[in-house]
Amino acid sequence: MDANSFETFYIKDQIARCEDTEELRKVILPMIRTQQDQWIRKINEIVKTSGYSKSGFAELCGVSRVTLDKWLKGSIPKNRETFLRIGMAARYDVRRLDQLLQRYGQYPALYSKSLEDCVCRYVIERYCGRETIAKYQYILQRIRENIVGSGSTDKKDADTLDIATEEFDEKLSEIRDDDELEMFILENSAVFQTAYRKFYSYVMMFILVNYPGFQGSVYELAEGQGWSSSLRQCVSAIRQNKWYPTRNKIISLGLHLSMDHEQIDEMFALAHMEPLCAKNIFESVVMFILDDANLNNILDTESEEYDPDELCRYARDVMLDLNLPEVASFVSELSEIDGDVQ
Amino acid sequence: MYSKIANTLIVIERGLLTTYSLDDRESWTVGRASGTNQPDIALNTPTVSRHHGQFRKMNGIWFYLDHNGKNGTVYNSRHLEPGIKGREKPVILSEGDILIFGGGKEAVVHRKTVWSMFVTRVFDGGFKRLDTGSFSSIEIRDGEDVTRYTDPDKGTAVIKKNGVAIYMGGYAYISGDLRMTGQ
Repeated sequence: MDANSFETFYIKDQIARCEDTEELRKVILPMIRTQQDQWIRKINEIVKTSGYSKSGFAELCGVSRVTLDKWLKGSIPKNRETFLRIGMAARYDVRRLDQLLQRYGQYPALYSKSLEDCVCRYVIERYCGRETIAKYQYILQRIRENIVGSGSTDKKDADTLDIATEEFDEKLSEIRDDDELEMFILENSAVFQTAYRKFYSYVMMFILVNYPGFQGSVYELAEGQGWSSSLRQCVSAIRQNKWYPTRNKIISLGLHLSMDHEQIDEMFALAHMEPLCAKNIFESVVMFILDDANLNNILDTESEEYDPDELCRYARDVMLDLNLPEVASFVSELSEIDGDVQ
Repeated sequence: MYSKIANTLIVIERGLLTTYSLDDRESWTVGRASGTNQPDIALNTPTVSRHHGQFRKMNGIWFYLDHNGKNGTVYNSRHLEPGIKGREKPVILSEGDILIFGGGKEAVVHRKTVWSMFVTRVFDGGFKRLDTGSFSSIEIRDGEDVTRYTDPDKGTAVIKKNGVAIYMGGYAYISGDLRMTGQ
C-alpha cells in the first residue's frame, strides 16, 4: 500500500470510529485537503507541462482564456466533456485520463460501451495532442450524423446478448482506422443503447423489493416522495438510458432510498466510479452519516414502516450542524419535511 | 462479437449436483422444503431457512435477494447483511459468483451448508463426478491451459473456456473437455 492509499485508508477508518459531528469537525476534516486545492495543483501542472500557451490550451479545451484563468485559481470545470478535452490536450493515456475524470472531476472513468467514451478511447490511443481533439470531434459528428441519425440500429435482444467490457475494450484497441471504427460502432449499436442497463436495473430492483407500493418505478417514487426537481430530472435521464448521474446525484439517490454505505459504493461501481472517497470533505461527511445511521441505530427502530425521508432528514440535520461550505449546496437536495407530518 | 448467454445456477448439496436454467422463469425462490412450503430451488439442509432467498431477473440481469434468515448466505466470501432498518440488498450476479447458503458468517463448505455458483453458460454434456479423496494438490487442464492448486479449499471452482471444475474436498465435479488430476 503506497503512502496515499494508506492515508485514505486511515481517514476512512477514523470516520468509521467517529462518535459525533464535533469530533468529525475538529479531528477528521482538518486532515482532508479540499478538492479545490488538489485541482489547483493539478491543472497548473497540466498547463505548465502541456507545451501550449495558455491561450492555445484554452482553445484546445473549447473555452476562453478567462475560463482557463479561473480554473488555474480553483474553479472546477462543470462538465465531463471538458475533462475529456483537458485530458486529450494533456496527451494523457487511458489510465491517466481515468484518474483525471475520477479524482478531480468526480466523474466515471472512460467506459467504452458509451459512444462518446468509445470514440475518445480510440483517438487517445492513436493520435496526439491537437490532432486527438480534432479527430474526436470529427469522428463523433460523422457517427452521429451517419449512424445514429439514420436510425440504423441493431435490434438484437438485450436479454440474451452481452459482451464483457474487457473483451469490448480489446476489440476496440484492435481497430485499425476510422472507417473500421465506424463499422464497429454500427455493429455494436445495441451495446451502446444498453450501456446503463445494470445501473438502472439495480435501482429498480432495490425499489421493487423494499418499496413494493411503487412496483419498481423510481419515477413514481420520486414523484410520490417529493424529490427535488434536479434529482427527478436525473432519474428521468437514467430511465431513458441517457447518461449516468453525477457523483452527488448518486449520493442523493442513495440517501433518498435509504441505502447504506456499501450500496452507494455498489451504485458507484455500476456507474464506473470510485467508491465514496474519505479524502473529499463532502464525501467524508456522507460516510460519517451512513456509518453513524447504520451502526448507532440513529434511525427510528420502533416503527416497522419504512419512512423514505428518515435518512435524508438525518443527513440534513448533520450537514446543517456542520455548516461547511463543501456541503452547503447539497443540503437543498434533502427533504425538509418533518417526520411527524408523514 | 456476441455470445449467447445462458444463465445457470449450479447447486451442490450433500454431494449431489443440480443445475437450474434460471432463464426458464422470471424468479426462483430458494429455501428448505417443508409441508406446504415448496420453493423452486428446494433444499434439505437444516441450516437453510424455509424462505431463504430469491433469484430474480430484471432487464436480463439476474439478482440474488437474501431474506436475512438465521444463518444467512455468504456471497463471494462476504456474509450478506441487511441494509438500513432491515432493507433487502439486491446482489447483481456475475459469472463465477459463489453463494453458500446456511453457513452463518463463515464461508465454510461442509455437509451443513449448500454450495452454489452462478454461471453464464449451458452444460449440455452434464457433469462428471471424480473421487479426489487422497489429493493434496490438483491440476485442472483445458488443453494447453493449466491451473494448479496446493491444498485447495473446498468449494474452489475454476471456469475455463471449455468447461467448469469444482473441487469439494473428497470429490470434484467437472464439465466439458476439462481434465482434473491430483496427487
